Formats: sequence, C-alpha cells, structure tokens
Amino acid sequence: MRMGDAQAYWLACLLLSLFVLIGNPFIFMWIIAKSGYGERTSFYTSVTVAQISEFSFIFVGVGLAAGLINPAIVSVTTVVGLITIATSAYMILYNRPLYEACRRLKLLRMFGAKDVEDDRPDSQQLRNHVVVVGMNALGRALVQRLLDQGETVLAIDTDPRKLRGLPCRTLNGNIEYLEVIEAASLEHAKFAVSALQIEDSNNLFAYRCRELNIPVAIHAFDRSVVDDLNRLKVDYQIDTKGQGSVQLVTAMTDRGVFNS
Amino acid sequence: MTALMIILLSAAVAFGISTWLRVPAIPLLVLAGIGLNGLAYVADVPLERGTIEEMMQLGLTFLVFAAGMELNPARIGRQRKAAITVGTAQFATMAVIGAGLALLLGFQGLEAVYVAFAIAASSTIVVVRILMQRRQFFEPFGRLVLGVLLLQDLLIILLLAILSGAEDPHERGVAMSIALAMSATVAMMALAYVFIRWVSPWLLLREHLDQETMLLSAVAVLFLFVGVAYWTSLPLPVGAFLAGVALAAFPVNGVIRAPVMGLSNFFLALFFVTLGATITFPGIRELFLAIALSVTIIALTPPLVVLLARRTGISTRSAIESGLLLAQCSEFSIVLVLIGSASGHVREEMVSMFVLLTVMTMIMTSFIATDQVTLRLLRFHPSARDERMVKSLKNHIILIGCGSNSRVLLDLLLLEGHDVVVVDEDPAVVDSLRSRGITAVKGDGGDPALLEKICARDALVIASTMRRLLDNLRLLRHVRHADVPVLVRVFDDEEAERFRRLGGETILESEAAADEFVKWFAERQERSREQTTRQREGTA
Repeated sequence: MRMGDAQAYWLACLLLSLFVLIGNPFIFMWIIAKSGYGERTSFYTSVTVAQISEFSFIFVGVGLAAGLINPAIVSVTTVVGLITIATSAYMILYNRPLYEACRRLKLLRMFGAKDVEDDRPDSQQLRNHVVVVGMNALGRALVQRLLDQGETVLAIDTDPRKLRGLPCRTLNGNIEYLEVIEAASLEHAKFAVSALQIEDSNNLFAYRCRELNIPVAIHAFDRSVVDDLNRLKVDYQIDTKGQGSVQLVTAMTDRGVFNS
Repeated sequence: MTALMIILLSAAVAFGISTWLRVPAIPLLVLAGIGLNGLAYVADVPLERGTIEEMMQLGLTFLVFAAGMELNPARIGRQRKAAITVGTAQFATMAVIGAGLALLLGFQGLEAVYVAFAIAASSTIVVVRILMQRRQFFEPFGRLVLGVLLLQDLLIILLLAILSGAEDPHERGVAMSIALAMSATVAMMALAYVFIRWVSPWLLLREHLDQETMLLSAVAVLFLFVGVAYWTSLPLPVGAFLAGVALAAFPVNGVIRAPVMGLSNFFLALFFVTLGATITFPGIRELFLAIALSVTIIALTPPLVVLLARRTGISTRSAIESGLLLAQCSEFSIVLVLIGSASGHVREEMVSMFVLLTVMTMIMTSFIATDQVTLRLLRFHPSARDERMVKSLKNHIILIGCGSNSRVLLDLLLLEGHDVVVVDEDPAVVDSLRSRGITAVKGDGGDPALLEKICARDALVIASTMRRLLDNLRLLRHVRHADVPVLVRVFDDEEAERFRRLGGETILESEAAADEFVKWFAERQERSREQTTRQREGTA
C-alpha cells in the first residue's frame, strides 16, 4: 500500500470516511429505533458500527491479487480504515457526552425512538455478598458456615469439579485474572476470603481487595507467609495450623492426658 | 507458517498426552520435536533449520523472561544467606569438577571451560515450572532454590558477557570488548533495579489498567531490555532475563502473571519442540559423553548441596530436595555453547552433545525430584540417623513435628510431668529442645527405624503435626496394631479419611480454623450493625 496513491483520491477518502462515520450509525439507529428500543440504547448501539472491518483489508487485498482492482483502491481503503477505526473508538469511549450533545441539538427526534429506558443489564448482579476463593477443605468449611449464618456466598475455584454440588453461587475461574475479579463483582462484595494455599495468588488477591477497599481474610497456611500478609494489612489471617494445634490440646485433654 | 503450524500441532498433541497420562509435558514436547526431525528425515523433507533455530531463540527468550519474573529476591526471605552460600559454592565446585572431568574425557583447552560452566548452572525454566506446579515456592527448600537460581543466573550472565566480549564482534580488541560487555551487563542490572524500584510499579499499577494494556506494557519492557542487549552486542536472553527480574517484585509480578503465563505456555511449546527438532543423531562418542556428564550432574549435585547446606540451618530433607531440583543443565548452557560455537571455541558436534545433555538432565529432573526419591536418599544420609541411643521408653508421649504452634502443647505436657519425646527434622528445633533438657530426636517421623528406636508402639499417645500424607501414613502403618492412640493434625478431609481408616484420630485444621473465623466474622458483623444503629439514633 502506498500512501501516495491515496493522496490523489483524498476527496474519496474523506467522503467515504464521513459516510461510514455518520451514515452507518444513521442507518443502524433508524432500524433499531424502529424495532422498538429506547433512544439511548439505539444510539449507543449505532455508534459502535462507525468503522469498516479489518476484513475489508483482506477483501481488497484478495481483489488486488486477483487483478480486479487497482492499488489505489487498496490505499483508499486503508486510509478510510485508519480514520474510521480511530475515530469510532473515541466515539464509543465518549458515547454518553455524544448522546447528550445530539439530544440537545435535537438531532435524534427524526428516528422516533420510544421514550423508554430499556432493562438494565445484569439485574442478577451480586451485591453485599461474601466471596470465598479456593474450594479446598477450608473453603468448603467456610462456605457452609457462612451460608448457615445467612450470608450470600460466591464460591470461586479453578477446578469445576470442586464447585459441583455446592449449595451456593459458584464461579469457575482463576482470581489472578481481572475478568474473574469483575465477574465476581468483588467491588460490591461485603467481604472476601481466600482459602488457597498459594502464596502468590493470596498476596495478589489481598492486594486487589485492598485497592477496592474490601475487607479480606487470607489463609495463612505457613509461618513464612505471615510477614507478607501483615504488610498487606489483611483484616484476618486464617491460621489453620494454629487452630489445629489448639484442637490437639483439647483432644489430649479429652483423653485424660491432663489430669491435674 | 507451515513449520510453525506443524510445531504447534505436535505440541498440542504432546500437551494432550501429558495431561491424559499425567506425566510432565516437557519430555513429551522434546520427543515431539525429535519425532518431527525423524519424520522429516524419513520422508526426505528438508527441515528449514534457520526457521527452527529462530523459533528456538524466540521461545528461549520469552521463557527466560517469564522465569526471571518469578525470581523475586524478596520471596527468598529468610533463606537469603543460605542461598548465597550454597549458590556460589555449588556453582564454583561444579565448575571445577566439570573442568576436571572434561579434561579427563578428552576435551581440550577452552572447550573444557565451556563444559565446566555449562554443567555448573541449573535450569530456571524447568525448576520454576516444577515449583509452581507443585505449589512449593513457600517451602524452605523452594525459597532456597529460588535464591540459588537467581544467583547462578546472574553469575552465568556475567560469564556470557565475558564470552561474547571475547568473541570481539566489533574488533575492538578482546580486552576492550570484554570490558565493554561487562559494563553493559552491569548497566542492565542497574537498569533492572531502577525498574524494580520505580518504573515497573508506575507502569503497571496505575488504576483502571486492563489486562491487555498490562500485557503490552510487560512485553514492552521485555523488548526494551532485549533491545539494549542487542545494541550492546550481548546475547538476547540476557536482556530477556533481566527484563523478567525487572518485573519480579510484588505486586507487579502478581498483577501481570496471569496474562504472561498464557503466552508463556505457547513459547514453552515452541522452545522444547524446536529443541527436540535440533537434536541431530549423536555419534557414539557424543552419546557417551552426554550420558557420562548427565550421570555426573545428577549424582553429584544432591550430595554437594546437602554438604554445602549443612551449616545453614536447613533440614537435611530440604537440602536433599533442593539438590535434586538443581541437578540439571541450564537453558543458558545452550546459549553458552552457541556463543562458543560461533567463536570457534566449541566444535560443531559438541554443540549437539550439549543440547542432548541439557535436554536429558532437564527431563530427568521431573522424575527424580520427587518425595519418594528424597525419602530413599534420606535413609542413606548419616546425619539423618541420630546415633544417640534413647533409653527404652514406655507410656511416654511422642510429638512428631514441633513447630511454633506445638510449643503450647509441649509446655502443658511437661507441666503435667509427662515423659515427652519430640521428633523433628529441623536441626535447629531439635537443638533448642535438647538445650532445655527435652528428649528430642532429629529425623523423619515416618521412618520405621526411628519409630522403633523411640518405642512408638509403647507410647501413651502420639501426636503428629507432619504435613505430608505419605509420612503420616507410614507412621500409622507402623503403630497400627499396637493400640496406641495417634492424633493427626490434618488439613484435607480426604486425607483425614485415609488416616481414620488406618486407626488414626484426626484433628481437622480446616474445620477448627473455619469455626474461629466465622466467630470473628459474626462478631464483626454485630459490631458494625450496632454502629449503624447508633449512627441512625444519633441523627434521629
């Protein structure tokens, strides 16, 4: 592709870009509004189509190779692609101000969209729940006890088999990934607990919870991880070994080892 | 593209078989590569060697980057001193032994030096992967090994700098070239430090950074360092490794690990398959040399590490585990001999021998660095057996494992006037107990010989806080028909079931801790409810 070729066709580039940037959304908005959606939904949806596809490049490339079009067309397509992809990205990012502006300028009246608010997505979204990560013995024990206390619990594990049969909502995923943190609605949670025995995952999770201001309890499965957990200022460290030892003393007492 | 596609396809098959048969993936990937090479030979299709070597370099560069990311100095924690001692001593000793062996086997001059250093360092890629999969980073030996790897990689990087300088690519005179290369390496290490302290956190911990941007930023750091390496005529993996180290500090490495790991597996496949494909069929002499050196590395490293770790306070078992994990050649060894070959110090057939040696030792690691082998070796070690005679005991209480959590129990038992025998594999613990006049035996609580010596079958009660399933099973089997109550502190309920079937009484840590937590949680909820009510009443 040679940019020089496009220069000769600058007017075509401009007009085609404008057609895509304005014409595409225009057509979409008209169709979607007529299908009965609210004005805002129609606008937001239409704004997303204000560019040409990456397949267009492949398309014209094939056409060129087959000798059906001349190289200038490829250049024009590329320029239009660059302009529309870049511009539409910003249009999508700033879709709300754009919408407000269009409303103020009364540009959207012509579409005759219904004046309704469409259903907010994700009415099922979790709020005020307790997130428990790691369905090992500790995780499962925590889930059961929290449910008994009447809490809404979300159990997370990377192994779907460990989530089977749990009497609460479950999420299959690795909490090191941001998408999983978002899917767990961690920012709306009341509390977070990690039962994992993986130092790195626990530290990262504690860090993320602190960033989101969510109180967190972490499984301090070994003495060597305590320093890091202290530094991360977790709200509670689940000391399985320590509690186990306390129980050991109780068991010994029950056996009459301590008589005096 | 076709070559890449075939490589990835065979890698996919190798991964699939590895998951199905539950065997480590790396040996299968190498086999896939060898298979491809063989197929090409049989079908008389020429392999594009250039492409394959480029892909190998690419794979190696990224893998070394990903491995470098795991070498967070802070993670080494309390094992730092031990890591430095053991790391330098092991490197130096293996290098000397290697040089001697090389001369014995007929290598001459500079080639012997290459052999020496190639076998001295251990593989970061393989060991980090094993530690990650087995989740053993936090164990004392895991931390020690990380420290050793970091140190050895830094040493070998300096060595690579010297050697690539010695190649004198820009004809500035060997001494000048070496000085420049060393300064460039040190400068990059300094740059990595700058990144660790200031740049990486600024780059990757900003708010609202999505995964894509994080990955791109991490890869940008990689390319920056690799670019500097290229510009200063250093081997590219050196830059890649330091880029990884630049991103190794927490929380940066935690935040980018997930996206980088995905890419990492791709490059792992690429590297090991192409590595397998570059192994040319060795001559008898090369094969013999590779086997001889492999055996040397595998046989010498564990005892060496155990010897060196003696005075560092690490338990014998941890030392053996570390030694087994460190018994292989490094991926940097391959880089080393490639440089040697380019400067004419190493013969062509020897390069192939080195690749074979590295592959063989890397593969063996997954099979020998296991609990079973460790236990077997532990039996041979003299210091594991406590020669002190313990008098014949009866109705005593045995505590197996006496970590800080068990001190309360120990003190209560002593207060009550019981005869207590403590078994622990940590020499520091044993020494401190002995100094208090308590009968303490250093060793493995599952070892039947030891249990026999402390008259386990005649004890009043045995309490075990050992972590490993295998050890507790051995204990229970030993005292099974002796009517001795055995209390086992255990985390996992499935393991607890197995102990119960052998007659043990189990204390489930998970249940106990969950109860404590929920109590705390409920109190916290109550307090916040009261606070809210008070606030409402205040405003009303």
